[in-house]
Amino acid sequence: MSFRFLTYLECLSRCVLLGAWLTATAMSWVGGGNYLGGALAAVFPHAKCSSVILGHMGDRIWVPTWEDRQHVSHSLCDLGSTPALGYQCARTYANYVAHPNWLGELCRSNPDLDGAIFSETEWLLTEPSGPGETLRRKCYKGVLP
Amino acid sequence: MLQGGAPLRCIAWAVGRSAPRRLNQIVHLGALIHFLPSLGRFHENYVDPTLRSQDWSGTLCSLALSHPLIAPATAVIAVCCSGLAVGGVGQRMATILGGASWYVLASVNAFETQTLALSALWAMFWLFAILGQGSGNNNCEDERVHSALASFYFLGTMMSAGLHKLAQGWPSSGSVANLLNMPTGTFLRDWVVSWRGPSGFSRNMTTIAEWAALAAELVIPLAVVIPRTRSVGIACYTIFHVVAFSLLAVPPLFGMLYLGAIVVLVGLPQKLADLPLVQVLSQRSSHKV
Repeated sequence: MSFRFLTYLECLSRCVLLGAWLTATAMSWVGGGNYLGGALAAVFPHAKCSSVILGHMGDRIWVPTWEDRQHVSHSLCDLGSTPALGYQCARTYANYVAHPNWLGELCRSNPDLDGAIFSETEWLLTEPSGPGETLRRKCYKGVLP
Repeated sequence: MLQGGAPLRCIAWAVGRSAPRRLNQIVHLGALIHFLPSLGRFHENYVDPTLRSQDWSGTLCSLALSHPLIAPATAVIAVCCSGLAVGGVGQRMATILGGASWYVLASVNAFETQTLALSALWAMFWLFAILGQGSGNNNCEDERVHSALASFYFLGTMMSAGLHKLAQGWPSSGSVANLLNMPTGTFLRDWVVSWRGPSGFSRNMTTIAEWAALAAELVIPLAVVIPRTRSVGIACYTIFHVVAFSLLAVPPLFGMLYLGAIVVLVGLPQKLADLPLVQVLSQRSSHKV
């Protein structure tokens, strides 16, 4: 009897977990890859779980540290990347990486940079100048320098 | 032990019949390859002010900053667990602990946890944690369910990527041209980039490339699902990934995930194990051991 009960419990828990897995998978497809984002947001109030395209990057405008610049300079892909690697920033989700307006949107999504103008050319040619350098300097308010 | 026993055992191990187990090992290896370079510069990447996850998880960031041992401990657990899983030791527990640790570690330092590659990583960890490694026999129901769900994930993600591209204006968005602006690449990429004129790629070129990518992403999953076109679909799936690896700066993790997908789509370990030569080698191995 108890054995059957445990088997039943195991089956039930697996079904629940698989249901959650399928839900997260479906969420990731609808939201464009935002796996576990919803669950995380419930646990960590500050977690970003926006599932729209730009939500992937959010307003995370950091670029890698100075030591990693060779991985990311001249690249569109470093926004939202890790401090360490060009790996992270290389997204084949091309519409995320290379949307022509993406960087401009990023500038606009940051309150400090509201109204900023983005120059793709400037970005492509500019490298971080030191540790912890952020992309703020890539977004210029007013006219382009 | 007789001479030659170790290599033969390695072959026997590599072609074992459990596709989910091999998939899990590949995924863990991918995680190690993906994260280790970053962990190698741990002293730079996981300290204040480099620690920058306020955007992602303020809670984790605060914890990591107030308890400096959290991030290193998580890193050690993650690496050890993935190492064990790659070696086939305690795979389920290693996946539960290792998967959670990688996720926390990624979140702590604002790794982009929702990239296409990392999402697949979390999905595969989770799936293995639920279903486990089964009996090592592909006829086992659990393993068939596992392979089917993993295949479902890989193919569905591919198709959803295509649908998202459609929503973003492909095939006339010009995104391919932008992607090819990334500097590093293989000889094939450089060759393609050499076609770029002074004003960039021609509109026609990028449109054709976008049509091709879209067609691949939307059609290949269907082709793999339909039994009659399955072989062609898997061949196209491979070609698609080879082209992507050749032309775009995709992370090595993508390669590992592709390999994992092939393992479950084709049932590769079993296919290999059924080869006459491998069967002979496996028998010799078991006799010697």
